[in-house]
Amino acid sequence: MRRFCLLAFVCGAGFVFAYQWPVKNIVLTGTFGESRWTHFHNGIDLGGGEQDVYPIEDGEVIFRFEEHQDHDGLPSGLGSFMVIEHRQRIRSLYAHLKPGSMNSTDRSLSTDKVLGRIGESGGSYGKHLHLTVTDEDSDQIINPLVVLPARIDSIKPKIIGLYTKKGAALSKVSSPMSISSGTYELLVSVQDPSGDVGYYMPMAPYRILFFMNGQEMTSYTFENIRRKDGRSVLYKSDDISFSEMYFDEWMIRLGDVHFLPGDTVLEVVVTDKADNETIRSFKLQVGP
Amino acid sequence: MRKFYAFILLFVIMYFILFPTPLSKTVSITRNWRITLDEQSVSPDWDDGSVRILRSGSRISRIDALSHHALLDRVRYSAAVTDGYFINYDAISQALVVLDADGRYHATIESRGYPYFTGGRLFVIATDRGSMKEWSIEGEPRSAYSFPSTLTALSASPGLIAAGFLNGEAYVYSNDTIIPLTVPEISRYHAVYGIATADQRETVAVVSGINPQFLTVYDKVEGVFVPVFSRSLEDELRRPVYVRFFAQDTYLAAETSGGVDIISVKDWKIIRSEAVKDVHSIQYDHSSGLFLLGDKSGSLVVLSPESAFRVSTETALAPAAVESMDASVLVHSDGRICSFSLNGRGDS
Repeated sequence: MRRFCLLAFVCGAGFVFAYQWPVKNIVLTGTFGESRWTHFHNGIDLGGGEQDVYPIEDGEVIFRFEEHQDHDGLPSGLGSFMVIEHRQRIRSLYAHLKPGSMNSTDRSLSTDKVLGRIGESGGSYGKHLHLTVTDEDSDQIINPLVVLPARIDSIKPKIIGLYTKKGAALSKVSSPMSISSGTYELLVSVQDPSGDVGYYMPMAPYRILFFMNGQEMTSYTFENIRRKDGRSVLYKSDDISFSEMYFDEWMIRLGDVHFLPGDTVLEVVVTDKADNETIRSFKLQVGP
Repeated sequence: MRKFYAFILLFVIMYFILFPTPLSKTVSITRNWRITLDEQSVSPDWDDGSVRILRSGSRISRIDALSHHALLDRVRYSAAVTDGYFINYDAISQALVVLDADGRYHATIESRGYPYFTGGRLFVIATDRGSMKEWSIEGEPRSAYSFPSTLTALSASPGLIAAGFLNGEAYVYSNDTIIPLTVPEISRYHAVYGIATADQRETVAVVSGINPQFLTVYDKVEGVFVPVFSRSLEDELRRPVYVRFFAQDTYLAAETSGGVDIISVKDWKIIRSEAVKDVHSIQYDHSSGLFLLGDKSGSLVVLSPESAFRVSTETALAPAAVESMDASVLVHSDGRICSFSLNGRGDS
């Protein structure tokens, strides 16, 4: 309950403290919770070409790392990055900055001060800013879209397909479709395309709900990642870990379901942070 | 007669006020020669024996006991180097290839991520610094580690691994156990900036926190690491901080905002404090026990527990590697190699 209160406070804090976007030209190219092959993407990616980067709120610079400059030699897929601590122990991390562009003098930065420029240092497929927001008190990584000002997004998420898996056999579900009774693993491929760019990573939506015959079977909300038993798990989603959630880069596991003979209706509801919603229903005739 | 003694005493006092003994002895350093390391400098007549691999700026080279240099490879994005092996890798890799000192294939590490050698061990750190895995030099996976926060500092010895994190926590990983290090809580902001493990004893040094920043040393006592020394640093660094044990764990070198302190492990007293403005490179040579500090203005300081030598170079040298050869110190800096003879070393 205490964690929930903290979380609610943090989410509310975004509006109270009025965080700002860290760039002027906002081009969303990656979302929170996407698969990054071995782990959840723990922030958002912003493109828009080389441009100045600003703190999302006034704060204290607590860490700078300059790629190929700092002599500890610890490699960094984050490239050159800076970390700022704001009020209520909220921290923001700005990665892949252009080498040499980082503000290296100021110990505190206000929202009108440039902290660096977008670059492609570290593990980057192109110039972009990776932004991570963490709450040090509740020890959670927060989806930045939850605390940043809402942006106009009229594009609905896509449901590419629903799949059953039994043993090694993977089958795409069509509607209507006949299927034998038994236990299957359900998987879904979804995307939340951005109107900003013509290409996209498999952008994760904000919420995925899965119903069978009107009963909610699975609920994923890409809002917070926290540590549990030495793993990173998605909070508010049964603490599911990356390897439990992602079948591969494109498909998300919805869990095992047992089909009994008769008619069955499956429904997938996908919502993005702007409340655009896509619903797809699948009617199955389950044989003996 | 009493007036005479008073006069002598006054003279001695005035002498030390007007002409204080310098902390470090400044000795002239003669630059012997300079070469540009490129393909032309490859020496064909290698002798077997001691060979080191050096990463210097954009070049990976090898040097043998006769001071022959050869260019092995050009750094693509970055390179991890250890005794006898190196990994030259791209900004985004799906696998890492280990090459030997002749540039020949040795093994493949089947891992995305970024390689790092410390304490003779190979770790591959995930892109987001949220996890890592240890590998053998033959490409066999060993233990995997999942971190509580973004990794900011890492050091290992044959017996233990010490890691520090952005959230201020620090842990020792030893024989499948995770032992927390209790960092000072009174800092206003919490993060770990530097960490070092001793080679031959279960001792760990941690630089942590802002306002104030602390250097804390821990010894293992009955299964837990307890602080045996802690001091608040005058000023703070908000970037990775260099800290390491050296000379068979006799000393601890710790970067400060104004230079480098050398601390005796015996009694944790600072035995030398060398001021270097804007240190941007620190290299350590095992065989000689010498540190080489470079600053942005081009000054170099060769530092040992006993003495310090300072020299100005014509251009700014960011020493990428340092090694000693007899009475010379070789400084590698982005393809250039400068040899400095240390006239008077050990006289102080």
